[in-house]
Amino acid sequence: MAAIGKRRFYRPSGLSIGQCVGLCIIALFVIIPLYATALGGFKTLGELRSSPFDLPQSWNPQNFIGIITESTFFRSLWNSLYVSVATVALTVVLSSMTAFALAHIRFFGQRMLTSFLMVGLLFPAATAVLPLFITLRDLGLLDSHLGIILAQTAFSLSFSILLFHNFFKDLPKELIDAARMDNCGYIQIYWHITLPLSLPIIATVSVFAFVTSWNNFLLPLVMLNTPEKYTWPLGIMQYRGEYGTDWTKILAYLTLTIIPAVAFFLAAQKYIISGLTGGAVKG
Amino acid sequence: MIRLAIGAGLLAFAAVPAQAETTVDWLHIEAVEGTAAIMEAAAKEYEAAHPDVKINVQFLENEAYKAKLTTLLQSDAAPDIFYSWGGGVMSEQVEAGVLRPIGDVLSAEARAAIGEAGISAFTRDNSLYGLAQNVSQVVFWGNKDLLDQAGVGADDMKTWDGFLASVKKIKDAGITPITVGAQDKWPAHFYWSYLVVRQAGQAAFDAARAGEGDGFAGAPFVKAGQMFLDLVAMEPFQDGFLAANFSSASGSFGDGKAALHLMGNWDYTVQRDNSASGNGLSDDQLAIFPFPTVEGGAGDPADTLGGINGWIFHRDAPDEAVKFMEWYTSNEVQSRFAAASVYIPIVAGSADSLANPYFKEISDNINKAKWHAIFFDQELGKDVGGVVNDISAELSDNAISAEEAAELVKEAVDDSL
Amino acid sequence: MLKRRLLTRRWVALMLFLPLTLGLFTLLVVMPMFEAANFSFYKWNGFGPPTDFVGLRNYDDVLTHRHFFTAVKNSFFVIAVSLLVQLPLALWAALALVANNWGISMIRTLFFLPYMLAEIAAGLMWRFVYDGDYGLVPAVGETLGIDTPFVLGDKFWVMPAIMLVIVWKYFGFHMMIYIAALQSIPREVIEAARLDGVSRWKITRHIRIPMIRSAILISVFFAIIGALQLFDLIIPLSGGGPSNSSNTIVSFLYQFGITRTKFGFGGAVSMILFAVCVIITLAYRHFLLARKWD
Repeated sequence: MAAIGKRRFYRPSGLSIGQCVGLCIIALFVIIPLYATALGGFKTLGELRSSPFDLPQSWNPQNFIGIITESTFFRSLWNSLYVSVATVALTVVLSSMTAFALAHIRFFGQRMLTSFLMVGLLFPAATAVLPLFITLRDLGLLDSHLGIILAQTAFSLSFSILLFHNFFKDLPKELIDAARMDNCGYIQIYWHITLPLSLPIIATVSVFAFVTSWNNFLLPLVMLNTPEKYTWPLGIMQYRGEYGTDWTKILAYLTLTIIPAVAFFLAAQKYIISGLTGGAVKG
Repeated sequence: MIRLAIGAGLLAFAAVPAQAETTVDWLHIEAVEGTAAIMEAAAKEYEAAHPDVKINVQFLENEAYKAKLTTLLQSDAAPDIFYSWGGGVMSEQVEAGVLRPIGDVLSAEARAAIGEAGISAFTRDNSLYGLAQNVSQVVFWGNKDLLDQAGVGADDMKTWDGFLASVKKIKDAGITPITVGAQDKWPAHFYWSYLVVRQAGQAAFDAARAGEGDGFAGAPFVKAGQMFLDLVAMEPFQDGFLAANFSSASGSFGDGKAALHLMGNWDYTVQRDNSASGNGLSDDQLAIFPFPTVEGGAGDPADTLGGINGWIFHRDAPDEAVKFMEWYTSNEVQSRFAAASVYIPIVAGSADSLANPYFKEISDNINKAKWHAIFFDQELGKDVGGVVNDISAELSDNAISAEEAAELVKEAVDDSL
Repeated sequence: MLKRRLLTRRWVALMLFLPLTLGLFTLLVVMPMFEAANFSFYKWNGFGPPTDFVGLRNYDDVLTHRHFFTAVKNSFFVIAVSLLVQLPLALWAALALVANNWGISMIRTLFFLPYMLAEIAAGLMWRFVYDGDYGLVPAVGETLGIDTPFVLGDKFWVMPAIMLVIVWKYFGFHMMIYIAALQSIPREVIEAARLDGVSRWKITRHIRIPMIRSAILISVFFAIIGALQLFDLIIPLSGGGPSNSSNTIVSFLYQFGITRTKFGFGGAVSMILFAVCVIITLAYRHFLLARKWD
């Protein structure tokens, strides 16, 4: 490390000693709760108290097996997956079309419409829960996954349109002008030119929509009534109600539900950076 | 003629599956596994005897249940039968028209078996809306070993002054006197409520909730708050009681970490279930003490605080739902819960099956009481009840004066009238 | 002729691209908002349609509620810590982790990981860390021989404890925004400065940070709005306690409006919060983002 430190003027990627120390401290801060959670599921309550940072005395998988063999666990993960994937698909389609129209087609009221759609960023979903409930009830969409998908999509539109809009605006104008000269319609431009160039931002929007949907708690809590339809955050709530103080069981459950999120993130992480580069922050 | 026959045949044909398909959704909040198992077994048994009925048992965690019930009841997915604490919360549901009166379906025998107290707890404007299942009383659960160690006996805790002296004695012996799950707020409200029952009594309480005179800002209510603060000033609660919820407080009592826990009779199973060992305190170690009496208080010393809980029905519930519950709340089924020491059934005859000595004693207490006050947070409705919970938790934290606390409850009552 | 055809096409495209989004957005975001605005003028327990019109009384009740001020104060405390601790930390980490090699991208991944976790899971996890009986805090305290408080039951410690979780959970998100922007700075600019012998610190201070100004502005905006809408973490962590000392505006709304079925009261809180968000956004846009958002 010292060697890197000395060469820091020649190596922009090199880290100084101060940076190394700082990063290590932050890394510990990030890891410790995760580490203790993952190990906690294997421990006994007594061990939790006496040696929270040590490896468990015996790797007792009983808590994990108990959860996995409960029929509700995988079902709730499956429900979450289904709802999240559908939300992502709908969000990407709708917000990319809308952002395209806002960025490339000139029409009356364009700016007003943009502002209108940005209102969604300012209205917390928690405050909308009751009227949303009433609306979905009137539409007959309560206790259905479709209702959750539509509501989550509606609330993720603002942020997604913002990301797409900034990205589309930065696409080389010449490309679109050239296509227009070739007598291409807007729909062809959207489909054949813009979308293929937008893979990074599509990935980014997908990741954010997926995370939000996968982790959503309040909306499914209010909208879903049949336990068979529960998404996993509701499952954890039920589980906590049953084993209120048995931390080892709760920690095991947490660990199991964190794994899919981590796996998804590892698979998608390179898109997050590239998408953010092109999307949210340039313009 | 032939057409008619075919028509009749079709009708008959159509009627059979329709009848076979009657599904009754039954939503409960019982988290203790053993108890839920008895419930499910009962549902299965009923299904076997009534092939035309299917009982769909659903479970919701307690806090989630309270949070979503209002919306749930207004949706198509509303359960047919669901758990109720009665009180003002049920009155609101009746006023909103989401409940089904069941007087037309219920048999006279079932009515008689449940008894006057249970029937009136679920009656509004002369209509019966629910079937009472069990009664409960809030008492001090005590850990005999720790109390003996501190040299405190039942006689020492008969009066509030004696109780305070006992708490001091326990504390001096190096033992945590009391656990309370103040983060959930309602466990703390038992103190304020019981002191109101003792200090103000039924007449003053009824007048106050009707907004008469000074209402809840009146002298006996302020005095009740003050007495609670006297206890709080001794710092009797476990470390971190403000961050503890009901189950963790109950669990630490079960682990023998404190001498007393003011809780309903259900704590008998809950302290065991939530203890780290899973065993909790044995019958030999447990003792119950009635809430201390208050010298000069207007309340009758025999009055009790607790609940009459039961099952109510959504307005779209089929007759079969009521019929099922009629069977379920009968002595035949309820005696199983009595035998398993889960709760104290209200239905006549079930007391004989009460194996548990504590439950027997509590059952006697309630029968002797002139006033069995229903948990104030339920009795006064969600809004006023919520305020009572707030001020109780804040009193336990010494974060509010007794006068302020009383004034806040009065304001909430005035708002709701 | 050509122009007319283009015009027709434009309309066809608009009719295809916009109505679905607008319909869904209006139906499920904007209408609920208007409905919340509407029932904020009623006393309403959520059963049936609201009928008991009370004018501005709910607003009066909210503004004079003894715990509302605490909630507002806490929300602004969250904003302050986000801006003064979380964002500088994120920026510092981003400046260190901008390179694209294997080790650095591992660290980046690690730092972003908490953002991926559900609020309820993160909240429960940290409730365990803070748990006075079985958690990490008392264990550490014991090792060091210090008597640690039950942080979530302590009026003084509860907000700092919650803030620590917020920083833990969200700094990675802001860090990613900064890294993305830093990576898009043309290499030549920095190389040129370096060849001129400009020190590393000066390059950072005078070139890199100014060049990611718009990313910083966006992240500040998200931090402020996110802080004002913070809710999911509070419930599993402290439930707003002890004695309602750790509520944010939205958890106040949830506790006193929704769970007590005082929906008119809750509607009034939403409207006040919405107004605050709009004012902050307009001011922010006016002063800082003016060039960017058009």
